[in-house]
Amino acid sequence: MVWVMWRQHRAQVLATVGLLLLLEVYLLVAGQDAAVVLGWLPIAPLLIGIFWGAPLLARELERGTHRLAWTQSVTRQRWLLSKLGGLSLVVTVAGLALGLMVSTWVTAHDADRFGDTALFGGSGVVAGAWWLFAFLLGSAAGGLLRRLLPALALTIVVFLVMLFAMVQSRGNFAEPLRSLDDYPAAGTLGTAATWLAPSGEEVDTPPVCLDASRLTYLGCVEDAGYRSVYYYQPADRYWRFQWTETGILLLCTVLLAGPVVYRVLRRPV
Amino acid sequence: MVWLTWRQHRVQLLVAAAFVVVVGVLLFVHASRTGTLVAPSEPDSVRRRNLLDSQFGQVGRFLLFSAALPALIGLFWGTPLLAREYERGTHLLAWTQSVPRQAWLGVKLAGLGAAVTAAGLVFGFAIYAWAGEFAPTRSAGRLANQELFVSTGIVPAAWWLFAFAVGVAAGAVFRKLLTAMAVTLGVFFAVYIGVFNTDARLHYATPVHVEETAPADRGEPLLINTRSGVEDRLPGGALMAATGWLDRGGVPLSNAETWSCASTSDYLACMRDKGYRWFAEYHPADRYWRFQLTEAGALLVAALALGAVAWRRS
Repeated sequence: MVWVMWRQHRAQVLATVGLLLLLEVYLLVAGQDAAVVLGWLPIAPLLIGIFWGAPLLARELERGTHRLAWTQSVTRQRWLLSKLGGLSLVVTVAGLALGLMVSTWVTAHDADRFGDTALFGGSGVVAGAWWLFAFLLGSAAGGLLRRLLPALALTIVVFLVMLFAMVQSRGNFAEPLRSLDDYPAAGTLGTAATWLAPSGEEVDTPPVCLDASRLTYLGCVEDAGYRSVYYYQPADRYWRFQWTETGILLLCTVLLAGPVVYRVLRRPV
Repeated sequence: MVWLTWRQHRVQLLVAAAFVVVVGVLLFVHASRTGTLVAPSEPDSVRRRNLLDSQFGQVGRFLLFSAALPALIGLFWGTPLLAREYERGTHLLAWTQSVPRQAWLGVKLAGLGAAVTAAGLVFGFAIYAWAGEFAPTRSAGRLANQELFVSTGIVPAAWWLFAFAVGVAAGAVFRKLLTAMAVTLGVFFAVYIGVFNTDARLHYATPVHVEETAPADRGEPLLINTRSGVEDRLPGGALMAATGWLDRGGVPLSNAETWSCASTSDYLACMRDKGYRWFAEYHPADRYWRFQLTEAGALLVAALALGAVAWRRS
């Protein structure tokens, strides 16, 4: 089974390893300038979903080759265990390698691994979780729809929705801290900013300055006695947030494995 | 042939048409709501700016996703067109009918290419009209905001058509669906990031150059990187190419020279005394259509060349 797996999936394994090596070389050569390209990190797991996940079952089912594959001396359980288990392991290790590469780059160039959305999702352990999630998402879509192109479309849509929801909710993984007057230091994750009125209530825009022009606004706010308030997550919560997001993604991954296992083991060939 | 093309590709045609129509309707509703919330005649104030900014942000945060749409066109319209036929061997059937191969490919390429372009045009002009509601605020400058530049006017249609051509050509050359998809994504994003994330667009024309002696500002030090201080003196919606300081001979200052006044109490007076001049290079907002035509033209030529590749290979 290991040999079959390698023969069937070596192109994608080699391509992934090659791309990771290429990225590492680029990070070393470009240094600080790599920041722009790293901005695309959040959609990198989508490639795993498209090229690793979706074809896994959809291609077999679409071409009817599952009838051949599942009626050999190797049982379906073993076929599933090797394919899903083996490839999941490879995907996770590759994702963790990416996380390590990005973390090293972040340390070397003193970049913002917490406040920067792309770097948070691409560094640390959460990178591996995103890759595994995308792989299972693609596999489940393939098992559900049984055709490659619709499975790809479903994978892309669900992944983008998940990414958007996760980015929106990251700031709420813990109760944010509150800072009066001082802008939070670099490396923190800002969640909100308001004005504190002399009366003690917080407002988005001081009512007395609503009609101030752009140039007189700050002076007006200061004259009216308002103080700025910032809500933020301190930098030392980085790992806690990494594990929170990893946990959420692993939970979703386990839920997605359900339909895949059902499709392979329970449905008649 | 037209009927066959419709039958084989109706799902993707209907999905794309439905998507464009839904986006258009949503944008129209959002724009008219913004129009009633913020009267265009209302004078500039913080309230007005905040309202416009938050209204813009409701849709603006999705603009980045519109960058990925051409890639989807390449994946789902372009690549399968030839790669699926080759992979399944159905090209043997399709190309041995009474319809000659050239006619088969010609109708498919021209018909689907025209459909892609039409959908891209509707998409681009829906966002163009929507962004018009926000024209006074800086964030909505269709030229200055790169995300708006690629989502409005004729440029989206050009990117969609280009991605479609990349997909078709990759399918013709590699003949396997997944390989062709990987190549399509790789080529498309390499070109896209190459144009989008570098200053390639700044070179579509020679920028306007202005300079003045260190400007007397409203008491606060105008550092080189305070963009608001710089942009205030320039026409609204301009695409900035470069800003900085020049010495007496017109040569840009080194970092050390630029910061030599940083510790003094009056930064601008110090710079003025040294004879330094502040300069800016920018493209005025009315170059929007010229830049749109430049980018669309280049992409159209590339798409035609890729179409020729697909034609020859099949």
